[in-house]
Amino acid sequence: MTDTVLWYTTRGAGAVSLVLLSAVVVLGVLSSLRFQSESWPRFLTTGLHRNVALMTVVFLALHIITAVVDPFTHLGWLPAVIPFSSYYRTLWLGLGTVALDLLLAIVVTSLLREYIGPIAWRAIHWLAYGSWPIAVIHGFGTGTDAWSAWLLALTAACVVAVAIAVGYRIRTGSPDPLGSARIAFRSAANRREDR
Amino acid sequence: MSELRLLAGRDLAAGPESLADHVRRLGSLPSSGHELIDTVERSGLLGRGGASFPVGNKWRSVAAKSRGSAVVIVNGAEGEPQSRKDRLLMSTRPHLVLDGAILASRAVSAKQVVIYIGEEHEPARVAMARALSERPEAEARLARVVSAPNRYVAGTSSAAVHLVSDGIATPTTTPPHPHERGVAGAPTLVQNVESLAHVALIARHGDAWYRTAGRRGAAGTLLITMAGAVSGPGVLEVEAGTTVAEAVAMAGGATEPTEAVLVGGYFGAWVDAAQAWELTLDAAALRARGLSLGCGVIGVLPKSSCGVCATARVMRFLAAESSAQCGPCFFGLRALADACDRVAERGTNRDDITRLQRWATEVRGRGACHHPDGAVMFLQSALKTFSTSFAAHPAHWRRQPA
Amino acid sequence: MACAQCLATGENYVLREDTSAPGGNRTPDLDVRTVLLYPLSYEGVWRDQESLPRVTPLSPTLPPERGQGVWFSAFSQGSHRVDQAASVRVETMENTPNEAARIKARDAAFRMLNRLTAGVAFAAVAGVGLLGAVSAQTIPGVTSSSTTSSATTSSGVQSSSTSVSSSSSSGVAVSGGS
Repeated sequence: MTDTVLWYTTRGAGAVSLVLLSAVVVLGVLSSLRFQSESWPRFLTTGLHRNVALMTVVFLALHIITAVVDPFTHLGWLPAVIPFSSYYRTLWLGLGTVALDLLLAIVVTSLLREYIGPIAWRAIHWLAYGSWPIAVIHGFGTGTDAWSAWLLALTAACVVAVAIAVGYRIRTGSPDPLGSARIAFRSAANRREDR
Repeated sequence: MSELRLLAGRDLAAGPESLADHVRRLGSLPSSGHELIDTVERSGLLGRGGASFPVGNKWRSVAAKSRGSAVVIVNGAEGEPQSRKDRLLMSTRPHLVLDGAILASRAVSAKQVVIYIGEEHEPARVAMARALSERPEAEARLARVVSAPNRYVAGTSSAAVHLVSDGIATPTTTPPHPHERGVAGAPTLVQNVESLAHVALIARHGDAWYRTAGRRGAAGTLLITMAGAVSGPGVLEVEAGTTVAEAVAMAGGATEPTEAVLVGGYFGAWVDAAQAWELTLDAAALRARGLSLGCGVIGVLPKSSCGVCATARVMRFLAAESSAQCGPCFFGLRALADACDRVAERGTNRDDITRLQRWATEVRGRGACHHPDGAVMFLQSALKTFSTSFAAHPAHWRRQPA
Repeated sequence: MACAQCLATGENYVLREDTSAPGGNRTPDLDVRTVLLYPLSYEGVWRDQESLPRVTPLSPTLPPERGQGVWFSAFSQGSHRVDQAASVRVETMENTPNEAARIKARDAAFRMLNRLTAGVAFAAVAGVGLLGAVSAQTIPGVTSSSTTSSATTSSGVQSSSTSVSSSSSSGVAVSGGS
């Protein structure tokens, strides 16, 4: 009896984790766009990004623990961190492990950002763009009811939200507050014959 | 001082000295090669571009890396607004500078000499170009005159290299330094015109001769620009180790009671007058007191002038001269200049004084080049020297009658 | 009371709008610092100190020209008279009204952050329950009598693993294998 509770909890927590992770990615993109207004300072966006990311880890933990503890899957703890080491749905579950490992790397390096420096931090943070799609694919492949309407709709909503955010980011580029000043200076500092 | 060296010869007002006069006065260019580096090292000659770095050391570094491809950049950009010495040398004693440049090129095995002159220094450019045409073909072929854009940072070594290489005079991050990788990747010697002029004399008279001048343990002579409330502002050649008081006396004395002295130009420091008089114009002695000779500008601020207002104007200039390559400099210096302006215009207020003190320490060391550092150290010296003025500066504005 | 030297020469440098920082803060809060944000924040000049009366300068502005001495001309007017009454002790750090307003705004933003975080957390917990229940409905092969999660799919007598496996085996068949 409790196993089915575990099982439903695994799926519920997995779906919620996907929604939260998508929100984290969108908030991350908004952070890099440096959005702000009178009542919404930039630290609000980044603060929310950080808080929701930590929440995602919590719900992922719930998702993973209920999956491992569930006697049906015979998972053991190892496949939670070592990808493709389970007998149960090796590929799809392995992808989930990959997404988790990437996410853990991002979270740990962010918490220790002062020690590793901004360049290393940024390089690892870009793994987010790998972690999220892998998580989505994991959701499709592993879920018993992956093709049920509610999960499809949920996943579609998440994908659309992230696609819009990332698409916008690619189009507008990172705002460069120095752009026009730098161009003005360079044209004043040209080699004389070029003018 | 016993005799002039760099500024010796006929009257400076008479214009550029011709090659014939130059040779008649000093003899022809000595033939020398790498061994000149030893001589220059023994003389203890320090660079006059602002850093006071030993010239011999620099030549040795470039020569070590040069495989015949090195480049010599003669730095006559003189972007410091108050400095006049470089353009004076170029427009009156161009052959001293060219001698030094040719000797340097032989010492470091360079095949190219670029004479980098500020575009705003028209007489200097004309004089150097004409002097170059007077030289023998073998020498003239090596060199060319290039105009430096009229920007403060264009006189930086890396900016000079950047302009010659890629056509834009913006400072670049170092390392690699020009002496390692400069113009087109080749080791590049960037040397101030005054330093090269000294070399031209050292090559003829020797390193021991160079050290016969100097007071209070310092060696050689140097050019300074006296500016501000002195009777005879302008360029003076003084022995190293001369005190500021002696130099001001040489410039005809102060015209009125002095409030403070700016030692080293806009990247230098304000010093209270009472302490400034005994300072010696010697790079090592100044460094020991946390000051720097810089480009040799000594500015005398009278009591009737306002240190806060003067500081605000210099900060505004320095902020406007940022190359906008990094946020801390572009935004930081602007914020500091804004705060100075507010104190100057609207009167002292707690917020702005706190900002000046705090932001100054935050900007330091965060720029991609040293421009913000120089500005910030200038500001910090102002906050110290003019502390009472900053604490109680009245507003400039008067209420309009209704 | 004015700075005599600047009045005499007309070189007082009025704050021009084009030289001031762009309007608005990059970081509204001076004290919040993250590595993502520039550690400097500054206000647009005119937004600050709005309590000061708008007054006009005494003479036209003269920007410093490049290449010329910005202050090296001799002034012989009377020196600066320092008004002692106007002096400010800059060591104290009481809040001005402006600072108080900024602190209020920052606190409001922090409260918003906490509220949003709590809201998301609550919604997430509710979501697990809700989506768990929904997923219970949509497992293929489950009887229509299933309502809540646990009681429905277990056949009670058999061990729970067997019951799960029996329903999942049909699920396996539908979803094409594990």
